[in-house]
Amino acid sequence: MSDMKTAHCTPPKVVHKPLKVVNIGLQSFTESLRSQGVQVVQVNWRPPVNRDPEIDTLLEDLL
Amino acid sequence: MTIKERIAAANEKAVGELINADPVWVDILPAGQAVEGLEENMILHSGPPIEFADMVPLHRRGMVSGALFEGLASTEAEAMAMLERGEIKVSAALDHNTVGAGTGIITASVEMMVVENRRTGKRAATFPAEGPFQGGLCGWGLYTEEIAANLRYMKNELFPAMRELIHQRGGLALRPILAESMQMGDENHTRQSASDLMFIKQILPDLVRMDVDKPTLLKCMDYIVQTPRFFHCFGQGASLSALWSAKGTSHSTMVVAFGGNGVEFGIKVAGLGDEWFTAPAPMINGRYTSSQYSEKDQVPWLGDSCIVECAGLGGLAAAASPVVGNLRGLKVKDTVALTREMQEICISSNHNYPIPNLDFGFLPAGIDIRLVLKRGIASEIHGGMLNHEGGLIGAGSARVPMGCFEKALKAFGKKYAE
Repeated sequence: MSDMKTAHCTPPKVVHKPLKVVNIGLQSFTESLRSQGVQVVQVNWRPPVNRDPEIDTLLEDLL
Repeated sequence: MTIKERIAAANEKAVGELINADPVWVDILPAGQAVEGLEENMILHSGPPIEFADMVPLHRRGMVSGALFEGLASTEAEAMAMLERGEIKVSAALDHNTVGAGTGIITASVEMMVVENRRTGKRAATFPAEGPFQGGLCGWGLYTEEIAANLRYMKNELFPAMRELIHQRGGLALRPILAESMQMGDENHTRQSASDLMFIKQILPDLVRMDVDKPTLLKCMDYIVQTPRFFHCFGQGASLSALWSAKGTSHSTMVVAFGGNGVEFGIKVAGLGDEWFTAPAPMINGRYTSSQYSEKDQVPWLGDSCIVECAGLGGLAAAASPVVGNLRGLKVKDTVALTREMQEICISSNHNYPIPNLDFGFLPAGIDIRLVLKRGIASEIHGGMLNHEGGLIGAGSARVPMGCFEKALKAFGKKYAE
């Protein structure tokens, strides 16, 4: 309980330093931070495709 | 050769047909002569095949309109009864050498623009915009006395002179117009502003030099100049004549046709002949022409004009047209990102189409069903929103349903299993 109180009351140290952000995925998050003057690196990433196993087998055989 | 090597060789051949095509506007002919397999008592429609009873109201009304225009029936009730009994046949435009843009209502006497791929001799026929009625009968399935009279006027007063013009000229090469217009802001599906102007620049001097009376000349000029997106039918004809040259390439996984009928969307694949692979038709996301419209007014994807995407225009060429992107709220860099995304699902790129916003990099060419499924990226298609009453209520884009590609790959696996 006392640990939670401490965590709640003490701001993380990171907010006192200039932010440097690596954003993975949605480009709009990068844009939003950049417009506020935050240094951001965007990593283009998509969640893995969830495919029918039959399609996976076919792709392995044909591609 | 392994199956993978066979596919690679087949795809190189198929995409070569697409890239090296030499589409030329060569003629204007009635659909009965220009469209292979179109019978006198047959009406074509957009999208994959569908029974008259299962069609969306816009298609059903278009069929009745077509029957009245063609004189196959004298009243709406008679036309409905004949269609229900199968006495008037219905057939998918893309099962012939034509494109059903919008509703795609094509009957034997409608005059068509004929495009020949000079490299292979394959011909495609597409219907032109109906002057002040724009989509009119063929695109929007509408029928009034004025629309019928305008179609007769086009047939009897405009097109004889324009046919003579194109014959005297020996054809009009379309690829140079497509290539240059895409450096001037057209993606040649939603926007043809530059290609319209270049078409006019090519045609008008010859028209003026022709031995025709001045009233006829002025009628032709007014029609060409005043019809919005006049060039669209030529872009579709150029695309289809190239794609039909690749259709039937054994072992190729390249897409050769896209089209929707308002119920289902379908694709065809080069190595799978004329078989359709379908899934529920998607809705178009974009902007409406008026705030009075919403999704409930909109018919799911209806039309074959997305044949141009199969040939690398439209959605695949988003980077070429910041103006079209802006209509949908996209920034220039978003349109560039879209084209780069489409490159990930394509076999090659087309050196005929260097694009300024890509630092003169080339547009993607040849959608590969395997890459679509591997990457989980469906093809972007631009299009117009049609409402249930007919008429255009907006423009935007959609993605081809993944189900089409899944069914196609399963059929491909079955056909070519080793």
